[in-house]
Amino acid sequence: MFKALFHAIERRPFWFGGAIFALIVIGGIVEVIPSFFENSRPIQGEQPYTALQLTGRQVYIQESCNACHSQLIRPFKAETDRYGAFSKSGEYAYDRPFLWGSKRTGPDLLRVGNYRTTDWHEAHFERSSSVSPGTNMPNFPWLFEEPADLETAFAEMLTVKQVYNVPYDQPGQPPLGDLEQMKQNALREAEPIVAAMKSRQVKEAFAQGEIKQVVALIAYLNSLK
Amino acid sequence: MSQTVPNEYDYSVAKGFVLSALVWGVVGMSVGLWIALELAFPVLNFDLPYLSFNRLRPIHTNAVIYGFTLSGIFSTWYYVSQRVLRVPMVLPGLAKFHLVIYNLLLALGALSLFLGVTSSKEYAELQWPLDILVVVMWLTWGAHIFAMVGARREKTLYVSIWYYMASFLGVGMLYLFNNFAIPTRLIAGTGSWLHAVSGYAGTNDANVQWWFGHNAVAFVLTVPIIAMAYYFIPKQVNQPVYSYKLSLWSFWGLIFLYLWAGPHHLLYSTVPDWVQTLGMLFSIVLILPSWGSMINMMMTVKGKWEQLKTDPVLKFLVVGSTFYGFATLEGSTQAIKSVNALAHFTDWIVGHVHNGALGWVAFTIIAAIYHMVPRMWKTELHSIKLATTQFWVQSLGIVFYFSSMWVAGITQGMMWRATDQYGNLAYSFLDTVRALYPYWAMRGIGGALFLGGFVLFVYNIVKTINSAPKAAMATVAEPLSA
Amino acid sequence: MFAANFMIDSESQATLIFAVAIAVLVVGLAGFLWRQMSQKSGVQGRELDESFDGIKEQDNPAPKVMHIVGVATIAFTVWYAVWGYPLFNFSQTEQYHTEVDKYQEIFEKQWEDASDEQLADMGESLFNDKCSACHGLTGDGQNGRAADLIAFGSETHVITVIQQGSQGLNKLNPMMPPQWEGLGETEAERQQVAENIAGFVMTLSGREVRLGDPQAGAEAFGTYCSVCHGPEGKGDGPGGSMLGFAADLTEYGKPTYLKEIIKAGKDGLIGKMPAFGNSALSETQYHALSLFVAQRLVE
Ligand code: HEC
Ligand code: HEC
Ligand code: HEC
Ligand code: HEM
Ligand code: HEM
Ligand SMILES: [Ca+2]
Ligand SMILES: [Ca+2]
Ligand SMILES: [Cu+2]
Repeated sequence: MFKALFHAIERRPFWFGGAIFALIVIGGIVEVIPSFFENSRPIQGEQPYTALQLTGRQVYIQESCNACHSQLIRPFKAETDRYGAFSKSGEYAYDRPFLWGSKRTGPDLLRVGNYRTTDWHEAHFERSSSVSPGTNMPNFPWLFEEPADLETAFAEMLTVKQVYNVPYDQPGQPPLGDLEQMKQNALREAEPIVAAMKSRQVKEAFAQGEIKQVVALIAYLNSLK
Repeated sequence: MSQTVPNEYDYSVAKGFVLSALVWGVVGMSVGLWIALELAFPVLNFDLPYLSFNRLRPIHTNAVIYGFTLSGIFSTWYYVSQRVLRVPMVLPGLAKFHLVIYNLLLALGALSLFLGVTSSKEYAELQWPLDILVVVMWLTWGAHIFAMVGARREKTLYVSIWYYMASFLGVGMLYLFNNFAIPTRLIAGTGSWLHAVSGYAGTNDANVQWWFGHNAVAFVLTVPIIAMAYYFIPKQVNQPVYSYKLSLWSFWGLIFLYLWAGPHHLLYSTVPDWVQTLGMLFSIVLILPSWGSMINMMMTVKGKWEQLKTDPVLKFLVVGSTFYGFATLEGSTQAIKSVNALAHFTDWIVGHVHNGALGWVAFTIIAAIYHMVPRMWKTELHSIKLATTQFWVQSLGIVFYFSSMWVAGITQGMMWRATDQYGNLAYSFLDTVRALYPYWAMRGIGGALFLGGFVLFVYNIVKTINSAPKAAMATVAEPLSA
Repeated sequence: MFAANFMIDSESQATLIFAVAIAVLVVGLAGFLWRQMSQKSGVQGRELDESFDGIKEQDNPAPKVMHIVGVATIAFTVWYAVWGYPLFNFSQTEQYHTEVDKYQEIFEKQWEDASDEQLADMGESLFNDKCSACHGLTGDGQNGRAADLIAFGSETHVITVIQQGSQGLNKLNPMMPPQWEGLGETEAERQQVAENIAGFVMTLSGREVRLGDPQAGAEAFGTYCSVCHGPEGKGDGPGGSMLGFAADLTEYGKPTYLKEIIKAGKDGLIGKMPAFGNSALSETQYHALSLFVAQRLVE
């Protein structure tokens, strides 16, 4: 009987395609859609990325740091000992896209802001083996040369504010304002970072009002806590 | 409408895709070898953005999956579909457009990844303008599938066609959902035209991504490859498929179960516990249809030991099916929570990937091309001996690859969790990195062997094509079989 | 450095067992199927009617292996969903807390009466994991990347502080300016005074004096330092009434002093040392770490 049924749809491509489609949608409907309602709220105290942090996050994505680094601390003792408290869903509420990664060639970075500092990062990006002998992390000298793209970061901030109601400009939340204000905010955030760095190139550019990519990236990493 | 002479097969597009499989295969695997060597010898990053591991890695995955594998899939589609549907090429213009837009897309994709334009979501890295091109390209293929099926003369759809159809529908649905993103320039009027922000945030984004990601694997690296196996294995051994019943159960079982297994990429993450458990359970059951197909393929070769000894094409097919069995059993095991706790994030996963990718996907595509090329170009294979050599070289390469990654991955996983007598972590992260260099070097050797074998393959195929009689270079090739 | 004589945990065991199982199963199955290929006749089932480009299909049932695998798989799945990880009743965070609580209980009991010697050993292993990245495995600070913990707590470091000042210890007075220039007319004179002071500072925290004349140092300390560090060096300000005004030198270099820095970090002159206060270490572990630095590194 079964065989007859199957044989019948094997002769009717439209029904065949329909049957395939009906079967493949079920998994997604059950596993993806209901969990949307469980996951979406930000955890208490979680704030959206500031101007410079978001710019740095775009640098992180541009360089595919997620090819080697995870940002997901699983609830195992060995993992929380190494990286800090395990991840909670609400901590990721402003992460578009998520950056959990799937391969740890390098360590997890979800809370790297707790135990690494600006000057360490600077040395590490300039020449990773100077602070981590035997590492295979590439050096990123070009991040000290290329200016950060504040316009695109602004565009993303404005988009998430307007489309997804990310609470920029609300009391107690990071400011956004217009493009000019956003740039001013970024410069203000960059100041202490540039001051803690040694690179002459970065400092000279900053004196001219330009923020190098590495500064934004470090601002982002320092914000990961 | 088409002006093709009726009752003749038109292989021009299939041939085009064979060539693009060769080109993208060499590109993707060379980049793969390069990044493998970079992990072992970091100086190879040369401090240049365009040569550094982080930018090259997505180029490798995109070039081998969407370049090499999809080319293989499309070339076999344009070859197999005409034959098992018993209908000459329909809409040849559309098919040519497919070939052109596809290669254009890949070239632009590689360029944009070099420049660091990426969405960061694995296997969906391309940004929105290219995503649109992907959709156009994919719908072009879909239109051709349904046009061919609509025009068919063979009433019943053969198993291979089931799988091609499932691949089209599955990838189409998943790609659309996962790549949903808002181009920021359109909202804000400033910044890069290429940038878009994901339509989902955090845990939800992860959940959608791996619903997609797992099934990108399923509907690109598995389903259409099974389509090939169901055609080329019985053709090559000239024997009937072992069991229609197995074909039936394996197909419907596979496409139903596969879509539930995505959360095995998110075990112990922040997606809800019940989603993880479901994903894990379905990954275990998934072994049934997977081994169903594998056993069906292998049993079709029953009684053909003698041919296996002399025929390199059959060697590729049989070892390919064996690796399908291997990779799926390994996958189901890695999906078990307590195993994944250790295996996730390690090189063992990379080993699993390449058991599937090299042993199963690449071997099956290589066999398909070996089968098709002499028939499409109406000539003899340039050298059987060379093909046999290639087989052994590449097989050795795979052994190097997966054995080094098994040891590396399990070592890494154990070192990350190891504690000393005081309950403290026994190794700093850097200790665990330093411990892996020998295995990364070994994987490099494996990669070099595999790529070397592939270069022999390209040489053999090019020689074969060059030996073709001039007349056969025309678009119209073989008369329709009865 | 010391050997890691680690225990193999349950995940590692499961992984190793499964890894062997996969290898055996795949080799076994491949062997079985390959043997099938070596049999004489391939075709035994009835053939179905259709033919696709010459491909026919047989009507065979699934081989017995499939049934065995099928039953085993379903059984495993049911066990898993019902008992192993109950579908609607399993919580990974609960699993985590149970794991950690159990561990803590054993840990505390095991090291309840640990000797300082043992605790310092424990501290070493923590140091290697958490601190050596900056301070180096020997604690020498890797050429100025971080504080030289061998010199720290000794006269050498006190002299450096007098020369360069200090900041970042989160005292009421946010920084100590350099005191060097005021110590004397000539460089040699300053050096002598500084050595005397340093020797005296050693006596404050009860350690051995290896440099200078502490008697003379006590006097100089009253002149140059007690405005901030208080008459007795407790860091309690000019009148000796503002505890926490400056660093408490009676604790200088001791485990308690170190523990504070480890927890709070130090945004100092060399660079920034991150705070380890929220690193999931237990009090025993903070103590062990401080003890190790104080006893084994500080010379
Ligand atoms: C080829 C792999 C690779 C890539 C690509 C890579 N890293 Fe790393 N990273 C490592 C390794 C290995 C380590 C551990 C050793 C060390 O400290 O260098 C590491 C360490 C780090 C650390 C220190 C974390 C800690 O806990 O000690 C940070 C921060 C970091 N990487 C950031 C980045 C950023 C940002 C990028 C992208 C711009 C990046 N990495 C790209 C491999 C990589
Ligand atoms: C103007 C006030 C002031 C004077 C004068 C002063 N100190 Fe301090 N001292 C401080 C403060 C404040 C701190 C804590 C600084 C910090 O946050 O790192 C400190 C810290 C120290 C430390 C600890 C540094 C460390 O790395 O932990 C030493 C040792 C020290 N002082 C010695 C001296 C000596 C010796 C003198 C006299 C020659 C002196 N101080 C004079 C204010 C002073
Ligand atoms: C990211 C780098 C980094 C790490 C990790 C680090 N430190 Fe430090 N540490 C520093 C730097 C930089 C200083 C010097 C601060 C200054 O005085 O300028 C320092 C200073 C110190 C001091 C001297 C403080 C003083 O009063 O002069 C002690 C003690 C110390 N660290 C202990 C530790 C211990 C114990 C750990 C591990 C739990 C640790 N450090 C981890 C960077 C680090
Ligand atoms: C010469 C042959 C190849 C070599 C040397 C090679 C090497 C590599 C390397 C070094 C990585 C990165 C692993 C890491 O980040 O640690 C990788 C990833 C990957 N490769 Fe290959 N590769 C080869 C062929 C292929 C083929 C043919 C395919 C697919 C058909 C493929 C698919 C993938 C995928 C999907 C990943 C990502 C894995 C993950 O994220 O877990 N590779 N490869
Ligand atoms: C029964 C079938 C299979 C199951 C249950 C399965 C399961 C898994 C699991 C558990 C992971 C690891 C996820 C993680 O911890 O990161 C994984 C990763 C992967 N598998 Fe499979 N697998 C199967 C078959 C295959 C096949 C045939 C291929 C073909 C190439 C394949 C390709 C991949 C790839 C590319 C990844 C890496 C994804 C990433 O992290 O980037 N899998 N699979
Ligand atoms: Ca991956
Ligand atoms: Ca995309
Ligand atoms: Cu998967």
